[in-house]
Amino acid sequence: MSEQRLFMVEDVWLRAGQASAYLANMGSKPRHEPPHAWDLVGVFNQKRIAGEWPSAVNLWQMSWSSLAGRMRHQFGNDAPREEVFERWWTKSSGERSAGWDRVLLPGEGCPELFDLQAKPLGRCLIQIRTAVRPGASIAHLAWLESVISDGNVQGPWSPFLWMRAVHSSETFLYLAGHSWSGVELATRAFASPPAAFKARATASLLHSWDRSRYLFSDGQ
Amino acid sequence: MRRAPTRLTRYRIPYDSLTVNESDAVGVRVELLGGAVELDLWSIWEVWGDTDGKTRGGMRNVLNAVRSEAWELVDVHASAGSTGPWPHVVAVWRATSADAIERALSTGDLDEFDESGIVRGRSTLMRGVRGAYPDQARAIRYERVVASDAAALDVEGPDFVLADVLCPWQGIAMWGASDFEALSVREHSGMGWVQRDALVECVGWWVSPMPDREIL
Repeated sequence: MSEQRLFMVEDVWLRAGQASAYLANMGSKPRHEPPHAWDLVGVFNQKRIAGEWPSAVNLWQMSWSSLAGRMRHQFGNDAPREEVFERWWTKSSGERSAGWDRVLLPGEGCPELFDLQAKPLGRCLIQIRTAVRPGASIAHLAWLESVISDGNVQGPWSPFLWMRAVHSSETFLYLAGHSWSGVELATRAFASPPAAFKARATASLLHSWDRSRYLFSDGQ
Repeated sequence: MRRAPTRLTRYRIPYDSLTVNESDAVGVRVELLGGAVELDLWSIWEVWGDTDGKTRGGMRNVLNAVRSEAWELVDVHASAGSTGPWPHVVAVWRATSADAIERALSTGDLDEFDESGIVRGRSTLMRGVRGAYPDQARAIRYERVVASDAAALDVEGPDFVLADVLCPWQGIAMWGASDFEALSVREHSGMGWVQRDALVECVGWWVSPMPDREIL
């Protein structure tokens, strides 16, 4: 269990006009030191025409043990101060005001990051965060999995990650593409969630910052 | 200054560039018009200002200053605080062309919008599904709705219904009137979708085109 793959999505509420400064600072150095380091999957800039702003999204991969170890280190009385993390926090405090993080479990068939790195999906991202009725997030994730595994997602956009939140009745779906071409048709396979889910979704268009190494290679 | 109603913006996609057939197009209604497909794209921004930052007039001014190749600002509506959020405006943008949207997303068009004095914004990429934008209305009831399915949005009643392009079972309904008195009469007659069973969520409020004078 302790090494089960987990993800964390950080919904970061930025201060006005601070997106570029925050994104440049984010991921410039490892925030967390071994042995509890997390893998930074991507840093994303919120596009203006769909989503909530000003904000940025950070996506991390970890395990239960590295999550718990990191939390123990951060909040324990016996842990030494982490100067790198504290310097980063102090600088970024002028760039962000608050946020909301969620721990997520990946769905069946979610690609391994190693595989993604071998064949990057592109730096244009669509995030669909869906709140469903309490008790229905496992079933909603299974529905997302079925749409994907049935091959219903076609065209220039590829499913990147599909996950459910551990602490809320929500799912997250990410689609990635090498350009914004066809964005208005990208989610058509997911256009009809069964009514019983009472799905309420927020769609965001995100652009990968330079340190999203699993989503694109140099020159892409 | 309120902008004049704009021409209907349409773009056409040749049949052979489509990878979708009618059975696939559950959420994106495609209309076959003599060998072409018409999509009518909008981006609706809800913007929260700050009593100590930008109020509604201030937000109108910075929105009017935005220049975009891909998006035309059709209106900035002031939300009537006594019926909903404040200080708050709704910016109504309409796409000039599909090519321009793709290019604008790639180049960061609109991303440099002046956010100072603004607390939060929420934008939705939308398409018109029924009716027409009420460009002559001086008072409008906005409703942000979540339906049980996309078809539940395509029903008579509102003057204009928009569906979320990426989550098409959600949308916005607009109910217009010549002024707030006429809107009140329309409200009294039973306007609005709040009582509809087919909806999962419905949140409404009144808005007005921004007056030419400065307002808070």
